[in-house]
Amino acid sequence: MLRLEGLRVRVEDREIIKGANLEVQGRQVHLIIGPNGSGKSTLALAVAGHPAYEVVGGKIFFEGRDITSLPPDERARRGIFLAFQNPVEIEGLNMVDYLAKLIEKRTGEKPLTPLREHVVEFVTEKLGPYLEALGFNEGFLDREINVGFSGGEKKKFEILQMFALRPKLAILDEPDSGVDVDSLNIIGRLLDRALQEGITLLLITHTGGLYRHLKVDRVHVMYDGRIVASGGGDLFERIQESGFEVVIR
Amino acid sequence: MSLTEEFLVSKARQISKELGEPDWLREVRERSARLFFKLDMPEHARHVKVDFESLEYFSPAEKAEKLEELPQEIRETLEALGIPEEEMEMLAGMQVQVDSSIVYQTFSDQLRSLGVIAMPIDRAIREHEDLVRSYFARLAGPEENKILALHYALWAGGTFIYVPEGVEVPFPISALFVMRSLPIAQADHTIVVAEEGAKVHYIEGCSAPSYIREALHYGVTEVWAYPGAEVRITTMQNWANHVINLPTKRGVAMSRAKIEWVESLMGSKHTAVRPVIHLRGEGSSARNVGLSFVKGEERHDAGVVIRHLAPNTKSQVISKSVAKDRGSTNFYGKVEIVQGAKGSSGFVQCDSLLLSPEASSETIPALRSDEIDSELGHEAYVGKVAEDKLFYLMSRGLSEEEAITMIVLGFFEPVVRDIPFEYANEIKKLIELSIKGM
Repeated sequence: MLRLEGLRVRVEDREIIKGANLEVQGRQVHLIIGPNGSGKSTLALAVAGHPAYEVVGGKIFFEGRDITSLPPDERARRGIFLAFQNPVEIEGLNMVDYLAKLIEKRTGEKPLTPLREHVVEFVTEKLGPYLEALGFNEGFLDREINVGFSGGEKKKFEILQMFALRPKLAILDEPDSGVDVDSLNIIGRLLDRALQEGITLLLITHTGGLYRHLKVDRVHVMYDGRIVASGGGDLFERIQESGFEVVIR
Repeated sequence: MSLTEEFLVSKARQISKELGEPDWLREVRERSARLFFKLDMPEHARHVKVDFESLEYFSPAEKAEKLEELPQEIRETLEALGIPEEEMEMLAGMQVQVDSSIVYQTFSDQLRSLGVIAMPIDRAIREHEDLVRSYFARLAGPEENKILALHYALWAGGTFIYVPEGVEVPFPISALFVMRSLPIAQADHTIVVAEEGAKVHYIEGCSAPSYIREALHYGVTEVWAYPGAEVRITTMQNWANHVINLPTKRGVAMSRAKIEWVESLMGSKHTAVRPVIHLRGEGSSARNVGLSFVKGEERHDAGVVIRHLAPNTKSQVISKSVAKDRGSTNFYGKVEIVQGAKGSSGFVQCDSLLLSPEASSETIPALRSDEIDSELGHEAYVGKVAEDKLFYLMSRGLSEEEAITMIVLGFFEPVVRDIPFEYANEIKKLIELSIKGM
């Protein structure tokens, strides 16, 4: 589904990704782990197409097509979703209107009118079970995008957007950092559900907190801008036990 | 063509004759035409380049009895301004000015029965000459600067609104100004007078379709709020990027009167505007809200001057601006409290959002109080480049245009929220339109 070939990414004149190779198969769960500063978030942002992350070498393929030079909205339309590590705040943009717009983008359906009650009805109809599972009540829908959200709320809102968009591939950048145990359990359950619903998951984590919530197919270790090792669950266990030195050396 | 004194004076006379004006007005025109050559540009517009010689200063347009009779492109412009035809009919009164002429007007019987005068100013001069004369050029005069001199020499069109004592106008009165011919200079003159305890909301929309190549807008608005009156003015401007916009706006509030000025300014090659509001009576207040959006090479030098001249006066200035591409938006907020204006307070808040690294924004506060028992505050926030916000939304599959619209509308939301729903909606549509035109 996703294939990186010798990807090199530069941010502000510094090369962060120095030739990364990666292959993620459809309907699987892949994990990217690695120490802080190894380039995991940069990799995620580059795959999603952030304009400040300049690809200076290599290629990104999605479903067999070269998407290296596509703008971010086009990548999203092809089915790539990124759950941000640090979601940005967008003042004055109402959650419910925003979610309705995302659903409209995917399905072409619209609320009956732009009146608030109709928009709420529309969003609740489309996302009801997910809103409930994530613990978002109607009051939450009135808030502005990520403004004043707790760490856990931000992460959960990313998951909600994923279900609004139903991508083919979801890249989740540290969905488990800065969240409490309850939220972690909820996120774990919903990611498992996403997988059941056919969404391929690429999880970036350095805590590995979600590992036991999901049946992980493959683990990739990132270090200094490269994928230095790939393997099954046993690789994760080994690193948990003895640290990254096992694979870095 | 060269713009000589002889030419300008004869042009002034010609306009006066065509409009059938009384002698005193013709004299103001002639005197102003001569002043034009002696005066400098307004201080806040010194750096604005205007090619006075290439402009057409008087361009009458055909009048229409019904809205349907207006030329198609004008009706489209009205639609584009966010005011659908069915809604126009519902407004208490409205008029449409194309270039130098009012081409369409309607004012409801209800307004007439309340004793409200709301009509094109040239007609008001014919029907209520003394009343218009007592307010005309009282808050902004031709001797002040080159642009005002030119205005008083060549002005044409505009609105005269007079609301008698205690009358609350139940619906907004609106006027639309459209520039169509090229290259045109449009100089509308609008006067709003609210007598004691009167209430009125005047909405003006200004637009120039994008095929205009060279244009100058230099209208004048004079606002009088007598004791306890409330005047609200909403201006929605959507200029093509060849329009130089140099309007003059003045207001005076007597005791307990309120003036609220909401201005949404989109586009124009260069806008330089510095509304002046005098809080002359005890307990009077002013609220000035400005929304601005620039793109391409556009530049806005906006600002406001508020003078607190009496005790217990209050003012609030809010400016929110967004700059894209190499656009530049600047705001100069001057609030002065004179000695003796005890218990007065003024607050200036400026926020700006940059949508690209090349865009720029500057805020220059100038707060001054000569009265110890008073309060002045200022808060400025230049938002960092909103690139991450843009990427966040685009990574959800929203196009750049959709993403920018959401960010900009969200940024303006705290201000737009306070505006009555239907007008807020119009401002939103205007912003969307302006972003679409990128």
